[in-house]
Amino acid sequence: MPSEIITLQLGQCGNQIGFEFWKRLCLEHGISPSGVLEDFATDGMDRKDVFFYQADDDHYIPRAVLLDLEPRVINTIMGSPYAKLYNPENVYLSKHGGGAGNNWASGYSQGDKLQEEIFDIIDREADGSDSLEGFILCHSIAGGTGSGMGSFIMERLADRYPKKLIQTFSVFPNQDEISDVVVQPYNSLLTLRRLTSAADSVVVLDNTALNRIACDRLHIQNPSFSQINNLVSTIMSVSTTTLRYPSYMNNNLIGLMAPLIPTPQLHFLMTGYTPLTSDSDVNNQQAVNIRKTTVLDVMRRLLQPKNMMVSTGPDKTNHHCYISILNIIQGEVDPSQVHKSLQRIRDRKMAQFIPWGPTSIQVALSRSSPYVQSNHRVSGLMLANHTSICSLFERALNQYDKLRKRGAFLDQFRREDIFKDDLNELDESRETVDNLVQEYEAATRSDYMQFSFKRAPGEAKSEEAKAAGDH
Amino acid sequence: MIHDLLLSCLTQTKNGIGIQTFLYNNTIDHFIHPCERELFQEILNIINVLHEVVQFTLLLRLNEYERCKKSLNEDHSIEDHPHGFYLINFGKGVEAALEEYYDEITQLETFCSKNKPNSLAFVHDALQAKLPILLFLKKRIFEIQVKKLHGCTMLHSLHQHSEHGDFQLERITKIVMKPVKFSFFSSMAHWLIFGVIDDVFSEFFIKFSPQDDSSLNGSCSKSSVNNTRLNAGGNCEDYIWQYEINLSQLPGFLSTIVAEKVLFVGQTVLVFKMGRSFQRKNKNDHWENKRSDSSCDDIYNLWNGKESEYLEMVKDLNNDEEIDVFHIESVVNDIKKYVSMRLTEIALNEVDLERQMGLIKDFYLLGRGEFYLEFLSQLNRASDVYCDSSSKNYTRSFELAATVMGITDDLENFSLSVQKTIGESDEHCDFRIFENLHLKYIYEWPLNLLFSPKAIERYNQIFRFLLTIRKLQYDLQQVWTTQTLAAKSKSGHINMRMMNLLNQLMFFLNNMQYYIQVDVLESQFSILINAIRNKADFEEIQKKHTVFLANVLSQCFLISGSKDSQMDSSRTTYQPTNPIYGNILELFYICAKCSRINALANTSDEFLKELDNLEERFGVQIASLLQLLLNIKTSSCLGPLSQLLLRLDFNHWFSSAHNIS
Repeated sequence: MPSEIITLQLGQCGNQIGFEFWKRLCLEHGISPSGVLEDFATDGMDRKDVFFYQADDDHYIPRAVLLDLEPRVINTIMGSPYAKLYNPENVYLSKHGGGAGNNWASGYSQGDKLQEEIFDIIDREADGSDSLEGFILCHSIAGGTGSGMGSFIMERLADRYPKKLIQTFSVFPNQDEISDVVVQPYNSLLTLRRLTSAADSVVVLDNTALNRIACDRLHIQNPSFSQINNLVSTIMSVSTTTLRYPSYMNNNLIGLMAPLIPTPQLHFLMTGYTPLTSDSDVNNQQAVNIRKTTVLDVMRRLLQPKNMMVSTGPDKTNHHCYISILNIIQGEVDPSQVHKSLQRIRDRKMAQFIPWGPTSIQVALSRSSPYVQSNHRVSGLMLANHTSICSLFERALNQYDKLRKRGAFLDQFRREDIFKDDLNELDESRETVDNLVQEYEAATRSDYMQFSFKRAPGEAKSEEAKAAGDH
Repeated sequence: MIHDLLLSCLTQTKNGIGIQTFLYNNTIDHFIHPCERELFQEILNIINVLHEVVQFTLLLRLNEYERCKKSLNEDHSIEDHPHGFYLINFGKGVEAALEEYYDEITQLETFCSKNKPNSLAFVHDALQAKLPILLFLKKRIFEIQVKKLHGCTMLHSLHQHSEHGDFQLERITKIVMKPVKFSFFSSMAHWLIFGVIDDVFSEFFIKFSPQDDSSLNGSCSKSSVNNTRLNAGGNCEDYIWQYEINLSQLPGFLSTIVAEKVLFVGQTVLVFKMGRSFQRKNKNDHWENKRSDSSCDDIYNLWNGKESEYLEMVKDLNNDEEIDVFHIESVVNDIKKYVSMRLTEIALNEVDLERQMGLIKDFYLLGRGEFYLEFLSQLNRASDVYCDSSSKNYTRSFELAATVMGITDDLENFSLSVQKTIGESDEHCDFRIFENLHLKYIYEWPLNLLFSPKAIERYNQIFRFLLTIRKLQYDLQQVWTTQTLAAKSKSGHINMRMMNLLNQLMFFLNNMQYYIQVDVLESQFSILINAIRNKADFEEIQKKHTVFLANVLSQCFLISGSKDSQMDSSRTTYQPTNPIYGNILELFYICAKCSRINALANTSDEFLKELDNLEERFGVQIASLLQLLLNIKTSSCLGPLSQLLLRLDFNHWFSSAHNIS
């Protein structure tokens, strides 16, 4: 069973989106909530073993580890019909159940304390797979557990499994509404540092954009968590279809990430999905809704900012550009249409690309689950590496600066070990994120290669490092 | 005297000309009036013509007789003479035509004996009336001898003369042609209904050309026929492909399209024969028994008891006065239609052709990327463990990967082998080894007609090409991973130039792959599958399949590769290799080099020098590739190539970097 992937879900948000993700996978692979393969799905040619393993009694069990410091969400999961799906040994709840109090530092130090127990689970899971390829981490960057403990685990994973890839689905907080978590800017910045240094690829799920899409595109007045999570699970499942179904390309995480991430620093990915329909739409106008979407429609819409699941803000100078794009298209596709669409997009200059290297829109035609009815002929997901994502980090920096200037709410951080002596950690994180913004800005210019040469301190040293890495 | 003369008209031996000697001395004057001398001379001339014709038929008979008597190994002496069944039948035809003449003579004789006063002039007149026929026959014989016509071409030449303006001659032609026609249609019937060619002298327009060197050398047509009969037992599956249209024997009145149809029907019949013997072999097999007992109405039976009906149809052709081209075509069409519909029916219902094509796409065309990914990683592991790249590794890795992926069922009909032994492989181009790989596919009966050895070889060509791309991509991705992961570790800094080159190489490979998979394979394959889904008749499917392969090959730049041009030596514009293909190969070398550069323990200077070198080479190659694609695009309307160009130069980076306009 090659290229297995272990999913880690952390904190309230991580467990919620993780739960939705697994529900979705079960549906797509024809696995019942209790983990038994449905009769209609026995001769499928899908690759269940990437995300599931088969227990002795023919139950399919997700390669998932559920971690939280407070019991609420996990208890909900365990009270749902899907309770029996998970391996109970992979569910970890801290004993005190008090959570991390939306405090990054608390989550981080609790992670430190609990690491033995947590890594027992992860190591066991990793040993159980023949050729583990990497980890997928689901969390939010704003809260306490997902951000704090997530950061800690990411760092440890990178140390412990230096040859495995780490991909994250990171939920960014909604900027349009006032958050009840006042220290959110601190949490975000501290997590961003780990996402920059320890993760190999980060799929940014921006709650701001998700809410806006729910309102504007799906016409839901006050989108609920479950509606938003539905969107998220769609993105997560579709972005893994090439791993889960036979296809000619992008068959593993490396194959998915390598074409998208040209330099290790630029690994924050945006997503877009079209066409979108909400559940209510499905019920009301099932028959009407099967629209004649074409490949060109899908590819064109994916390039529109309003379909992006990341709110980047207006690009005043109009200098931001795509570093790379991968479109995963599902449905009845006439393959000859792909080329026509590419041609059209280039002729009409619908997308701007980096000036320092070759790039194009890669289109992967993927199978979709035969067990899930889609009301669209063609649907598409875009994974894009776009420089404008740095506006998200700039925003985080601004909010941090505002809070930091006032020295607000720092006491609860000082209580934890990592900030006991000083607040260097915060300053360093700020610098990392600032560098990241600069890197992305530089990537919009044609001299980016020179920029990165400068960034890398001398060829000789890098050579040593590389040689060291090889042995 | 006149009686003597008439007698000599009937004799067929040379001695009959004895009467000629009358002319040399003056004895003749005792019998005839001097003014009749001229007439006598002319009668003798007519007799001479007759004799030539008769001589010919006699010679034929004699030849045949001698041939039977002589041992067969002295073929060569006879080779020079016209020979063959068609010719013998032609001789019979001539004899039949002469009957009329003999009748005339006999009549003449009785007339002469009854009526006392008769003159040479009367005999001369009677014979003169027959002269055109004799001359005509003589001309035909002469033509056959000079042009060395035999077999179907002879039939064709006769057919042409059947449109002769002279009524009498037309009639004669028909008489002469009848036996020849008969042998033609009986060969055709044998081939169409039973798939047998009994053609010692290669007279029919379908021939069996044994390809294996083991069969006897030279033009031992006899032995090839023996082979045919032997093989028809079903020993060797490839022999049906050794039947082909013999264009030199194709009679002009049949178009090549009809000939192809005829060939197709016969091959189908052979395939069914093969199926039957296969079934017989497996009689003890329970599964097979069940299969033939229950559901299927004996799928191994092609004709379903209709063979006599069709046989009659072919035989019926013989009853036409002349060769009726339209009639032949309609009969051939009817039979072909029945046969190919039956074949389609079986192919779709019994062996699920669509699924088979799916498997072909999955494994030959690398549709199952994840499987080949696993294969490559198994291969990597194997070469780590066993430290040698023996050919066994490939087969073993292939099987292992199948087990690991749990798709052994799908792969039961595929096996991978290395055709040539791997010698000391060049360090820098281990992807070259892939060119010796051969993926074998055991097709289900009766798909033999689709997967000819040629087709399989073409599939393999594409397979090797795709696998090479995949392998290089895999290697480069490994380098990418080490670099990326190294960047994460605290100490790690990566060489950005290396990363940059890596990205460009990966970009090239990825887009090459997307181009082939999406723009070429997916779109061509969907055309093919549509044809199958529409239950087209089998010949149509076969044609679409050939077109599919040809298109894929050409759009992957694989056509007119060195191997191909060797096979097709008749082509006038001989090109050693496709320039684009050469270019792509060069780029592959650079990719292979780049994936190894990391593994070399080198000093900084060396490394940088190597990097410079590779960067430069890549620049040159990609620029010339783009230029080639661009030239082709502007010079003609080749769509597929512009697709690759679009993908490679989507953001105009390569073209602006290398100033390509």
